[in-house]
Amino acid sequence: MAGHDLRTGLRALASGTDTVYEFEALYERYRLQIYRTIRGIVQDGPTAEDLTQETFERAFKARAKQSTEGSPGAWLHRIAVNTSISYLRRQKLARLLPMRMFTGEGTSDFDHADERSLAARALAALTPKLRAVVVLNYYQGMTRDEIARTLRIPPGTVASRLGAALESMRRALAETDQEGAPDRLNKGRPW
Amino acid sequence: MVDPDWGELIRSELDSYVPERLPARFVPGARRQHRAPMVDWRPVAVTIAVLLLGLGFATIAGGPENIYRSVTQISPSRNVTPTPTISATPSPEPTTKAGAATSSPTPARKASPPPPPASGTSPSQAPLPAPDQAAGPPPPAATPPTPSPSPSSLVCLPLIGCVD
Repeated sequence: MAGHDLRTGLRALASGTDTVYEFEALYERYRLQIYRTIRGIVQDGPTAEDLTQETFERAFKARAKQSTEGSPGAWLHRIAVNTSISYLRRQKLARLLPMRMFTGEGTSDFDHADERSLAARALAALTPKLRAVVVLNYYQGMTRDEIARTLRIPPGTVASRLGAALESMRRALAETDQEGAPDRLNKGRPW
Repeated sequence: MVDPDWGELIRSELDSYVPERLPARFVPGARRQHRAPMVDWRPVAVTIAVLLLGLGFATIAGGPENIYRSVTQISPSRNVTPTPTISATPSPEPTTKAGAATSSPTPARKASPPPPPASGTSPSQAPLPAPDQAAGPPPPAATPPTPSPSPSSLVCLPLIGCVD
């Protein structure tokens, strides 16, 4: 996930010889990945942008504590997932209200239910923790062990969360089929 | 039921997301504030302050009826202040001056007919004005005391109460 130069950069950051320029390399390398991971969890574009910047701010402040043995990508993704889940926790509405009620000011793609893709609907049916595991597994391509190391949870927990997430996504797919609009929802999506 | 390729679905979905305002370069400390749902507490605070003020005023004044009474007494249209024209009316006391009538606390007594004199008192002693009463001996027992202060001398202010 991360090249040797990035590890060297992080080692330099941790050793106190860092500059803003060195951290910028990390930012440019990971900002899109982090943004899309956060976007998949919080499901709102502007909020994901804010949280992406907050993630890198936290990483910049905690760069001295970062272990040089770990991958910078895993480290950044851990901060991103924790930042996203903390944000949704702060909202206190993630599990109580429909997603569209706390996803920004109306510019979100998820405000228009008819235009949501099957993947968006499936992700919206998950809890934030399940969403994080699904995004890391299916989007970042992490294995269960990598997810476990990234989120600092047991591999068994990752497996159970992935199983629960798949079950929820299957139910969301079945409900979509029952609504009789699969063609509209799956437009342009490869199966 | 066959599962779709969730990996491909989610990858294509998330890859389609492009940040609009995310800066291309990292600038420490330039993070924007979250657009958390804002609640404007100022109208609520003002409403609570007004209600508390009204409650305090009602408590001091002794109830809604007393508030109404205080307001009507403070109102200048209800103040019956003797004017020089009143002193020009015939009075049974020939020594009453116009200035004394102005300082009299009971001008309503001038408009009302004098109380019936008690036995043994001369009619000229009955309607004595207040300055004369303060200087001389106490009025005869036959003169009925006023049950309450006249409206013109009672001043009620919020948070202080009524002062005679």
